Formats: sequence, C-alpha cells, structure tokens
Amino acid sequence: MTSRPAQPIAAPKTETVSAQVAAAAPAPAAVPKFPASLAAAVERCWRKAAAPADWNLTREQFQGALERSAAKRFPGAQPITEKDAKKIEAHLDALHAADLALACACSLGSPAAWDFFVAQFRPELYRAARAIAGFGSAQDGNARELADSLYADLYGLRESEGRRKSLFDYFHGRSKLGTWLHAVLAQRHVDEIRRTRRTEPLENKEGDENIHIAALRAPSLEHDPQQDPERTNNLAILQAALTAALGSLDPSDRLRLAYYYADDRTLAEIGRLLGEHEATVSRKLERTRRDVRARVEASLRDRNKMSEAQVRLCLECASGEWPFDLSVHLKSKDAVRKI
Amino acid sequence: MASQDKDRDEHKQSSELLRRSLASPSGAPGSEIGACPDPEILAAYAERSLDPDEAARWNTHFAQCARCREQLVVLVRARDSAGTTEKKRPQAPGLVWDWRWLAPAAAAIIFVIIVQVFRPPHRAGERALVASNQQAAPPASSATPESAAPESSRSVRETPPARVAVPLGEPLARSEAGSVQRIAPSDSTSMTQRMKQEPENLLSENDKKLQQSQQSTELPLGSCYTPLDGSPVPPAWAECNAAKMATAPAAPKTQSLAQNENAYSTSEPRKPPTAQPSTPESASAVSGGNAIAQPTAVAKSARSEHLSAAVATNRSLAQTETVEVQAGDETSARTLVRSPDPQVLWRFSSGRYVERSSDAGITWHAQWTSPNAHLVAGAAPTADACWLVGRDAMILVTTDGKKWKTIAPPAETDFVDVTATDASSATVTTTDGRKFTTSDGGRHWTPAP
Repeated sequence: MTSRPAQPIAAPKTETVSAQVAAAAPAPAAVPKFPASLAAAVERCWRKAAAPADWNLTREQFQGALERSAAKRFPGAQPITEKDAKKIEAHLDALHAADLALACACSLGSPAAWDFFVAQFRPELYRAARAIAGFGSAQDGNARELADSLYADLYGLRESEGRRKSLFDYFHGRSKLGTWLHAVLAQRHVDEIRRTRRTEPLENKEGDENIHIAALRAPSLEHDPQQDPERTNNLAILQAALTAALGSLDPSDRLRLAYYYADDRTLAEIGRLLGEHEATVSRKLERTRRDVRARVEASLRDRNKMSEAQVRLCLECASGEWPFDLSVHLKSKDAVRKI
Repeated sequence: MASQDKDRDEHKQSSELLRRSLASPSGAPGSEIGACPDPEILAAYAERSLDPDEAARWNTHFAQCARCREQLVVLVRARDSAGTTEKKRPQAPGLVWDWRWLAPAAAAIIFVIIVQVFRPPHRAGERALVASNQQAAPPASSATPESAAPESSRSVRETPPARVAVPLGEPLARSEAGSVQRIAPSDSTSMTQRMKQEPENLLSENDKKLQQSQQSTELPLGSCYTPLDGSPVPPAWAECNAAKMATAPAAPKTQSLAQNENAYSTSEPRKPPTAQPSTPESASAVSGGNAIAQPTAVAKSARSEHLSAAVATNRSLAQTETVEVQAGDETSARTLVRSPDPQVLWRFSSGRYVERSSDAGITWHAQWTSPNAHLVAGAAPTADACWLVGRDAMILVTTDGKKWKTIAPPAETDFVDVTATDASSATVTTTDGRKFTTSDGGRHWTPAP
C-alpha cells in the first residue's frame, strides 16, 4: 500500500458520502479543546485504545479525535463548563477507544493501521455486503461493488486542498467500527434501492408511500364527498382520533406498530430489530393494539360525543375504502384532496 | 364463543385501522419527522448503546420514517450475517434474569444443596467411623447437632462424611476406643494421654476442625474418591482417579507441616494448600491409618515440573509449543515459536501480543499487537523471519525480526497452521484443510496439494 504523508485531514465532504453523513461532520476549527479536568479521562481512553507503536498515532492526535467526538455528541458546548465536563467524561468512558484509534490512524494515513484494518475488517465488510445485496452470482457483483466503493471512500481517494478526504473522519467511536461500517453500507444500499424504486413501473401495492400510488387512488376520492360525505367525515374523525392515540404511545410501542403494520415485518424480524423475543413482540403488539383501540373509542365518545352505536359505525367504516389524506376533511369542508 | 368472535372481529378491525393509518404518511403521528440519523447513530442504536432518552427520541423518528426503518432492517441483516452479534436470537437487556432458565437453575442448585446436606454416608466403614466418633463424646453430643445419638439417622446425615475430610499427609492416631482421631501436629502432648484426659473436648474440637479443614481442603490431586475404610473404589470413581493421575504432575506426596498447621489454626484465616500431592499409595496409607506421613516441603521445582507437564504441542509440531503461564491468579496461553537460532524466540500471548526474545527467553520485547487478533500458529525459518497466522484470514510476517506486516490472504477464512522455509516461502493451512503456498512473500498464493 502506498504510504501517505501523515498529516491531519480536515473533515471531508465527498460526493459519494451520503448527505446525512456530510451534514453531520463538524468543521475542525469549531471543536473545543478539552480542559485540564478531562486529562484523566483522556488518559484512560488512550490506554484503552492501546494503539500499536507502528501506527504512529500520537496521543495529541488521538485527543483531537476525542474532542471531535465530544463536539459531535454535545454540539455548542463551548466553553466547556464543569457540568459539561462530567457529561463528556461519561461519553469518553463509553467510547470504543480501540476502534476510534484505528479509524484515526487510518484517517491520518498510517500504512500499518491500514494493513491492520484490511486484515481485520475486509472479510467482514464483504460478508456484510453480500448479506445486504443478496446471494447469487448477479448479487455477488453488486455486493463487491458496494463494498469496494465504501472501501475507496474509507481510504480517501479524493483530495481537497492537499488533504485526503476519508470517510473515517465521520466515525467518532460511539459504536463499534464494524457496526458503523455495516450502517454505512446499509444506508447506501437503501438509498440506492429507493432511488431506483422511484423510476420503476408503478405497482399497486397497499401501504406503499410512493406518491404515484396516491395518484392512482385519488380519482375515486373525488366522488366520495358527494356519494357518502358522512362516511368520509367519520373516517376523518377516526383518523384524527387514531393520530392522537398513536401520538400518546411510548416511542418503542409506536415503532413496533410501524414495523408490523406499515412494513409488514414478521414477529421474528421485529424481535431482531428491537432485541426482543418473538413472544414478547407479539404480546406487546397485542397490548398496544388494545390500548390504541380503547383510546380511540374513548376519544370518539368523549370528544366527539358519539354514542356506542355511532362509535361502532365509525369503526366499521375503516374496513372500506381508505382515502389517502383524511385530515384535509377535518380542516375545511370545502377542502379538495391534493395529490 | 360469542365473545371470542367479538374479540376476533375487534382484533381484525383494529389491525385494519392501524395498518391503514400507519401506512399513510399524513396519518402518522406528527408530520415533523426531523433529520434522519447518521450511520454512527444508527450503529449505536443497533448496538443498544444510546442513552435511553436519545433512543426514545430516535424511536419516535423511526416510527415515522420508512427510510430509516429500511436501513435498520438492512443493518441488522448485515450485522447478523457478519456474526458481530450473538448467533442466538436477540436477548432483552434483562435476559440474565430471565425466569425461563433462572427458575430451573435455582431449583437445581437448591436440590444439590439439600442432597449434600442430608446425604447419608454411603459406606459402612464411614458409618462406623462416624458412630465411633460420636460414642466417644457423649456430653458433646448433646451440645452440638453433629454429635447426636448414632442411632438417629438425622444425626448421621448431619455429620459430615468423613471420606471428604481427610487431607493426605495428616498425622493420625488411634484412640483406645479404636476410632481414628485427628490431632494438631503441633500438639506435643501424647495423643493417647490427651484422649484419656479430655476425650470429649478433643473430639468436639477435632470435629470442628474437621469441618473447617474439609471446607478448605480439596480432594488431593490424583484422587476423586478415597475410601477411608479400605473398601474398594467404585468403578466410576476409579476412572476419575485414573484420569486425575494421568494428568497430575509428579510432585511431593505430602504437605508440609506448616500447611497442616494452617489447616488447624483457628486464629489465622484458612488458606488452601498450595500444592495437592496425591498418589494411590499415600491414599491407602491414610485410609489404613497405619502410618504418619512424613511431611515434605513443596519445592518450587514442583511448580516448574507442573508447567513442564502442562506443555503441549500444537499443530505446528516442529517449531511451536503452547504453555500455560500462571501469573498470580491468572492463567494465559502463550505460544512459542522457535527459530533455528536457539537464542531467538517469538511468542504470542492470548493470540494477540507478539514478542521476540534474542536471549533464549530471558527478556522479551513487544513487537505487534492488536486487540482483535487471534493468532494460532507460527513458523520462524530464520532468526529474522517469522510467519504467524490466525483467525479471520490473518497472516503476518516479519523479514527483519522487527517490523510486522499483514499479508493479503489467499482465502477469507481462518488459518490454523503455517510452515515456512524462508522469509518469502511459506505454506498456510485453513480450517478445512486447504493449503496455499507462496514463494514471493505472500504477494501471490497458489493452492498446494
């Protein structure tokens, strides 16, 4: 591997880096320096990092990486007060120092660090890319391309103002380096899929949030207000009650519902995503479903002053055609649905 | 039945409501989704290392953002395939207290404790021994539970089984009553005289010391079960004894006087013996009660003998050997890689710390380390060249005896062995037995037959 001059690299913004990653990188000049009270925490991190000597990573360089990590975690904390120092110390103690040291050394161009990174993470990177892209001869090529493009960005083939731009500058040690690499791969893959999805032929798939699907459904809605205005109104009221009920749920319950009802994930998949057992997912879904229904019924009875029969009728409306945007009907009687 | 139908209808209705509501972007709670997180937040979220407040905030975002949910699904898929998480199903943070395994484990532990406490002596000889001990001290029997009337099965159960209690090398004496008594070796008074003068107190003291010593003293190495009454060893225990003897190092047969005194001392804290010698001969001598073993100090040579006995060769039979090194309370594995020069050695500890010695192992200098490395084998064809291989396609080589470089592997797999003829030529072996050879320092590899 070609050796590179070991000089600090400014936060790069490459075209291949996703917009989210680029937006998250703070400018080096804005990074506050650590006060003396954090020296012990920095020392602990340095010892935990245990960077081999041949990586040529100095303690000062590593401290710079820690300062960037803290600035990312606690933006705007300048000057660093005593209270901030305590929070920063807890943040530093929780960092994956060894991975951060490796990323920092690689970003600075250490050949030994790169050799280590290649030996350690390349197999894992390709394995993850294959898992993401799928298995098969055609998918294998996509997987390799996905991994190679990431590897190139990590290495930093582009230079700006004499400094190499490396994707490693966006790693701040809050997670393991391997998981971070997987997250970058996942983000790139999903963005690519979503980009190509918009250009694919339309599919009549229920639950698809593609705007063209809404256009397909819209024409039928134009007739609803005239044919069954009461039903449309009921649905609008129901939607509002549902929105309020969902909004009052615990965020994890809401996420579980979204995975199950919006994404059609299986219980096993949801369990893996949330770190729960299938049975736990099922039990919590059932509990949340009952909770939402109870809140909706209470809202219809108390807020909208509906009788039991009206509430039943309102809920039965949901089994029919479900317009795209019901909230419009709540705002104005003359509102026309917009595509 | 009607209520079940009603529940089913309600379930179906509610599910339909939720599905339609959550599928519609405007129906999602709140239209302000906010910015999506960067990969580091996604990664930390997937690892469950975010603060609870932060995780809750992102849960709110993810509930509304299909893009982020898709990314999380893909991320988890990639992570599971790479094996960075446990292969088992995901566990909740409190799984360590999961009742599903905790309850049976607790029940098993309680059962074992009850069996140990209430287990009757298995041997007739032991029963006689216990009974004779109790008969010799009638006043004490009323004071302590373990000295109840021998006819009582409860007292027999409560008396500790004598077979567990006797360390080898412990001086024994027989009282006139015929029971075997243990005495403090530092006691200069004649045993027989003491027995005549204060049989009750002596017995009670000894019973207590018996319990104390049996708590602190393990069965001597080389024996799993030592019948005190000379009865034959059961087949199952005989196998265990044989296995122990096969692996036990040759060491002094008895403990030192000092160690025995420690076992009896009531003022000092009990210390487990540092060496547990055992031979069948000494065991039978104890059981027969015919001799008082001659105490011998445990020499430091016994420790080195033990280390020598523990040295085993790994797959690279010619050049490497693995030793168990004990430093304090810790034991770690170190693999030595010998070079043709007897003064030059390499070693790697715990699979990731590589050191070199140029004075036959007297001093060592660290050369390479990686927190995630798992080195398993090495070969040093010259005093300056050494090849090391390990898990995760790791191949390292040094050609000057100082700096190490990583070699691109011929296959992305674990390597278990390496042989080398010089700094440029080596053959590596994978876990499935495939071999690859290089003659240009690892730049090119070819499959070897």
